[in-house]
Amino acid sequence: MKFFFTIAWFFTGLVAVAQVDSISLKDAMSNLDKALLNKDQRTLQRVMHKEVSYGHSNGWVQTKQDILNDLQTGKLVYNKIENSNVMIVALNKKWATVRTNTNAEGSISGTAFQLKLHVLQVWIKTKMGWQLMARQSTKI
Amino acid sequence: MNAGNMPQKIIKMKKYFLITVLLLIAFAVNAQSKDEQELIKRTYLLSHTVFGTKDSLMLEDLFAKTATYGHSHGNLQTRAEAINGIIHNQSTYADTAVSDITVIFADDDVAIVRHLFKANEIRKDGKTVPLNFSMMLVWVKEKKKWKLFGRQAVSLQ
Repeated sequence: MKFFFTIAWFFTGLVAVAQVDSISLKDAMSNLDKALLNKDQRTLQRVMHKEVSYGHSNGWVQTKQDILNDLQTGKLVYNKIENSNVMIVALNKKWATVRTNTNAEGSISGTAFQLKLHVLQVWIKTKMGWQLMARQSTKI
Repeated sequence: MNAGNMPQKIIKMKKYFLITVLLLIAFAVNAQSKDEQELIKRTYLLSHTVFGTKDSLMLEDLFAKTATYGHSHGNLQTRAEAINGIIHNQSTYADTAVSDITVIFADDDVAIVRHLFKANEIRKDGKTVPLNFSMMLVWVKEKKKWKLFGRQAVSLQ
């Protein structure tokens, strides 16, 4: 009996930990989207890994410096980033992959875009909190 | 022990310390480059299996248990769906080319591989369609073997 209680208690603990992690991860995802919309360089510095690769639906891949520069110069402007069907696939507490469907609107070099995307993201947990390591989107 | 020997002993100790540190760094670098080579091998094998042999046992070996597999049109498959789709894929592929492979380690046991993929798809009805994809692969090390955890293709056309 005691044995079963121990097991039950162990699983409760695991579920609790998993939930807390997914909440902090969802926070980081929302912070990233808000920072992209608001061109918030400080938050972007924090939520993106220095070696991040950010792949777009036309195959263009941005580095961290590209993302920061292109927002600052206005080459890339986001007006809307809306995620649905968020699915977190995690193996452990140190990293996770996330899949979302995303509606993105904005402009690239002055040309407006309105895209329905499927996105794969890889997040890793560092001393700074969750950081985006890689992202690839494709048009639905 | 006289005072005259001390500095020499310290120098000797420093030397050993330096050698040990250098060896440790060399081991670490070697381990990572070994992993990198292994990942490149697995990436070629994956491409060769998906677009060539369609061998189910090999696919079972390549895919992690909780793999997710995203196609260029945005449809998403589980491990079982992806393997089933690949082995029953009636298209064949000619002139397949994997290029521009980059490997980034997110952790010791997680890596992101990006590469380009070109081929001519020959469909069941005989129609040939050129493919030009960019792939992002997430590999995880499970029991000392790199397994595909996530895949997202995007078409460059």
